[in-house]
Amino acid sequence: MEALGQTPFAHALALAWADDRLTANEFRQLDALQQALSLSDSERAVVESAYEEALAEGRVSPGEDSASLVEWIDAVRALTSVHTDISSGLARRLGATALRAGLTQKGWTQASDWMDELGLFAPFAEGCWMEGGAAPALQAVPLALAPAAAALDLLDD
Amino acid sequence: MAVPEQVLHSVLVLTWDADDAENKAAEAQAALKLSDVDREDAAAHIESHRGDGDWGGRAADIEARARERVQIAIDEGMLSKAFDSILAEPEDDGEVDPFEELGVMSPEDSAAAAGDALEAFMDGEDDEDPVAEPVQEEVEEEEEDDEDPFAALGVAGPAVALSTLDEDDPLAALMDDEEDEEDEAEDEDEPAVEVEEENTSSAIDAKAAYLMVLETVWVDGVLDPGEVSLLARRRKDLGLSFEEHLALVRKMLG
Repeated sequence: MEALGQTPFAHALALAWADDRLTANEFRQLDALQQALSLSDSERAVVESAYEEALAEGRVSPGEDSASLVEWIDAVRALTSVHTDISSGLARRLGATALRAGLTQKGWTQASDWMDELGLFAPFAEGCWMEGGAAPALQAVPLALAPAAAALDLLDD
Repeated sequence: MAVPEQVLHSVLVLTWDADDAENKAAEAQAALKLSDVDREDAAAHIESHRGDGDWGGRAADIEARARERVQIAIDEGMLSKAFDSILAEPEDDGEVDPFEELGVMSPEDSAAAAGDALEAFMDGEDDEDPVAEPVQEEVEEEEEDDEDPFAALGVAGPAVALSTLDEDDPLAALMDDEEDEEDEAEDEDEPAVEVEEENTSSAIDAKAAYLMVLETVWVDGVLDPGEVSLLARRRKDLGLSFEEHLALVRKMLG
C-alpha cells in the first residue's frame, strides 16, 4: 500500500484523478475529506495545485482505481473521528513499531508528513523517539495509516 | 496467544469493584511484566467507559470477553491459577436479555459496537494477529469483529497487516534498563544540568553537542532502539526538551 502522495489528501487526489478526470461527485468527496482533516481552503489549494502541476509534468502517477477514493476517504474519516486517545495511541504505537524495525531518515520524514496532516504527528514522534517510555508494537494498522507504515518499511513487498 | 496489556485490562475489568482489586491488579501487572503506565492506561480507559458498571449496555459482552482472556492467560501460564477466583460469573439478577439468550448481539449492542471507544483498549490488540503473515491487506469487511483489529476500536474500514517483527522486543528490554539508568542519572547529573541552565552559551553548546550525537548515531541511515535510548539519555543530560530534539532533527534533515 504505497502512498500516492505525500499526505492523505494528496493520496486522495491521486485516487480522484485515477480516470484522468475529476467529477463533481469526487470534488464533493474531497470536500468531505478536507473537513475530516481540518484543512483550510488555502491549505487544500496548495496541495491541489502542487499535485495538479506534478500530474501535468508527469512527476506523479494517478491512482489505478477511482472507486477506491470512497474507501480511502471513509478510512481517513474513521480514524479522525475516533476519540483522540485511540488515534493517538495507534500513532504512538506505529512510531514504536517503526523504531523496532529500524527508523530511517526517509521513513521518518515521509511518515511525519503523513501523520502531521492527520493531526497525529506528536504521538507518532513520541513513539518513534521513546518519549514517555516504549509503546507496544502494532501487528496491523488501519488503512489510513498504511501508507505511513509503508514509508517506514513495515509492510512486506 | 494472549496480549499482556489486554490481560491486565481484563483483570482490572473483572476486579474493579472487588475488595482486593488493588492486590489483584498489582499481582497481574507483575506477572505480566507490564509497566505502571500500562496499568494506568488500562485503568483510565476503564474509568472513562465503564460508567456505573453498565459499560454502555455492553457489560455482559465485555465481562465475558475479559473472562475469556484471563482464562487464556492462565492456560498459557501468563497468570497463576489463583486468578481462577476472578472468573466466577456474577449471580443472575433476574433480568433476561432475549438477544443474549438467542446468542446474538442486540440492536443496541450493534450500535454501541460501531462507535464504542472503549473497545479500543478491549479488543484492539487482541485482534492483531501475533503471527501475522507478511503483508496482506484485509480489504474485505469481516463478519466476525474479532477478525478486524480496528472495527472494534471504532476505527471502521479495512486493516493492513504489518510485517512480522522478531519475537524479542528490544524496546521492552530497554524500558527496564532505562528506568534504572534514569534513577542513577537523576542522582548523578543534577548539578551539571543546573550549571547549564544558568548559562545561555552552554545551552547553545548543548544543542550543538546533541546535534553532533544525533548526526553520529543516525549516520548509518537507520536508528535502532539502543541509539534512541542513548539519545533520550543525552537529552536528559543536556537539559534539552523533546520539542528541541524534534527541532534539531528537522534541522539535521534539512
